Amino acid sequence: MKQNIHALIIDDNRTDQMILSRLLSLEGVQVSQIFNPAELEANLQVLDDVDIVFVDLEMPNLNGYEVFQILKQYLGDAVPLVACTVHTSEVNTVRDLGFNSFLGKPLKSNQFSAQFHAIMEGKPVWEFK
Amino acid sequence: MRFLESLYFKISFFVIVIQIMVMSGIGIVYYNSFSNQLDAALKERIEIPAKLLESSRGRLVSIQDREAVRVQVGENVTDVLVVNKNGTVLFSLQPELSGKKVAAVSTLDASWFDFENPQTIFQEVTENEEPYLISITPIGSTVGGEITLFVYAKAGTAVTRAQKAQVAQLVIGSTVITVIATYMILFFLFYTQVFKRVGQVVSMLRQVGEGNLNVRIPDIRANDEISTLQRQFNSMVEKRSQTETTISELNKNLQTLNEGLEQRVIERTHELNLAKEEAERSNSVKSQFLASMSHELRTPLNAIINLSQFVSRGVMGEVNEEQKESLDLVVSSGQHLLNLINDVLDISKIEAGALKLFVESEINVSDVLQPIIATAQSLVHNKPIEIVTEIEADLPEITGDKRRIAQIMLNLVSNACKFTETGQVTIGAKVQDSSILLSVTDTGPGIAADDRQAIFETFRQTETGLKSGAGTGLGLPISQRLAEAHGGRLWVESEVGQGATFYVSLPIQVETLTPTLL
Repeated sequence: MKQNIHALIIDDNRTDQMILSRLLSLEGVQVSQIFNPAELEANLQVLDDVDIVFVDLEMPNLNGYEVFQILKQYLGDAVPLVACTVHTSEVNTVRDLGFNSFLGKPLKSNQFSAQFHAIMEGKPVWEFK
Repeated sequence: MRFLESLYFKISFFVIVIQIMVMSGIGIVYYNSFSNQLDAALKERIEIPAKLLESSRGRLVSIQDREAVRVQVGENVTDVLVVNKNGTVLFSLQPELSGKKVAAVSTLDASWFDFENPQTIFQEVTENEEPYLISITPIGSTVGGEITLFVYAKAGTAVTRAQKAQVAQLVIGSTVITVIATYMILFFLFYTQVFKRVGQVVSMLRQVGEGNLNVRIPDIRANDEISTLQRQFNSMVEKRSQTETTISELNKNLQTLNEGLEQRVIERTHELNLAKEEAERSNSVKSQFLASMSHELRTPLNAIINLSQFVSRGVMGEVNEEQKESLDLVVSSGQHLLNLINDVLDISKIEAGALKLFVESEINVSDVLQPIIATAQSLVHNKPIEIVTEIEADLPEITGDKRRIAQIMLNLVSNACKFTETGQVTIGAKVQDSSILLSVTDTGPGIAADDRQAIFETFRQTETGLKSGAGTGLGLPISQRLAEAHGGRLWVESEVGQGATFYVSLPIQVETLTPTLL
């Protein structure tokens, strides 16, 4: 796994952003944050340097699925896209749509490290309990 | 009905037989009487000459006058002769015979005039095919003295016979006429009084039998048995007609009632359907609300659990023992709250029929059980309980929801550890038929028969359960539904005082459980 992984978190909830960001930094990952998904469309270039994207599903203006479409279109299969949400019942839809992994909130901090590495190694993680 | 069976024959036969007998009887009596009278009269006449001579002791002078004698004996007596001992006819109504000898008269039989053995003779003879009666009387000159004369009288009986015949004919004729008349009268009477009226009733009964209730016998004037029958017929048909009317009215009423009822049923069903839809909608709204709320309820827990953990681990700076302990308590409370919320979420999805499994294939059951065994060991670390595993080697991989299977086993194992004070908890897995049979056996207090059903009902905690504290009472019902969602079963075998074994059977291959992404 390369050094200096760059992760992007797209979530309108500041608390959740803080928690995920902290977990990622504990893994030595560099974190970028987008709080308003509408920004993404205008700034697609931020995706150029990204190694993994975490997307919350329930956001105002643009929900996670729409965001996913934009990301997929831009990134293709190059970068793992992880759905990160409290709505664990969406896991099947998420899988069918083409997300690489699913991390249910509240996040399990003891397992995060293993989960993150698995995802980066290309193994899908479906954590929704 | 044959004639011989008819009422008419039965009655008229006897009437006529009796009539014949009576009339014959009377006729015979009359005929006899008449006949005897005629005979007696003739006999009297025929004996007149003899009487005359007797009374005059044989002196011929008493019968000298032929004309007188003829008058006295009447026209039927054709001849009177007086014969003496010499056989000479001393007197005869037929003058040519006077003075002749008996032997010379062909019509006389000499043996009749036997003076040696005089006898009174009275008999019938036939001369020239004509019937006669002869009377021969011996006459004595003195009382009891010797016989000196014979008196012979002959009378033709043809006339009397004819007269008798006439009477006989009369009797027979009148009998026959009476019989015929009786026969005809009886027939007439029968016809008008019986045949006609009975026949009418019969034909009307036939009509009633065919369904025509409008027939009535008109004009019943008489008051005899048949008119009673007629009146009864009329009243019966009337009653029947009324009954039919009543029945048809009742039927109409019934039909109306039925239609009304059907209408009500339709209306009521509609109402019920609406109510049901309303209830279902309401239920669905509640379930959706619950589902979304449950998700919302979890959001704050992300911060509560994780941030407390960060601080507790010293990620944000050093913390002392007390701070660490406090924060750990916050974390564990938050996790407990999370479990409760998750249970509520699960059960509401199950009740709404909206529980979806995340199906994967090639699940290694043994791998799934490892963390659970570890958890079990940590749960019993302060109790004298041993965790035993009886997991078959080379268990086949199954298709299912890994997490849910783990959830079931964790639920069973935690319960086992919670309720057992001492002994062991055995976790087993083996192949049985076409399923994998998982089991958790404990040496706890066992489960009473009444409770064995209750434990699987939502929000029911048995006394034992309540006593052991913390829990929603939802674990087992959820586990059971999850097992069933996999096409399997979850059940318990237990006796009070002998621990309990919970079994989970999961089919290895289930058609409806194909993973959504392969």
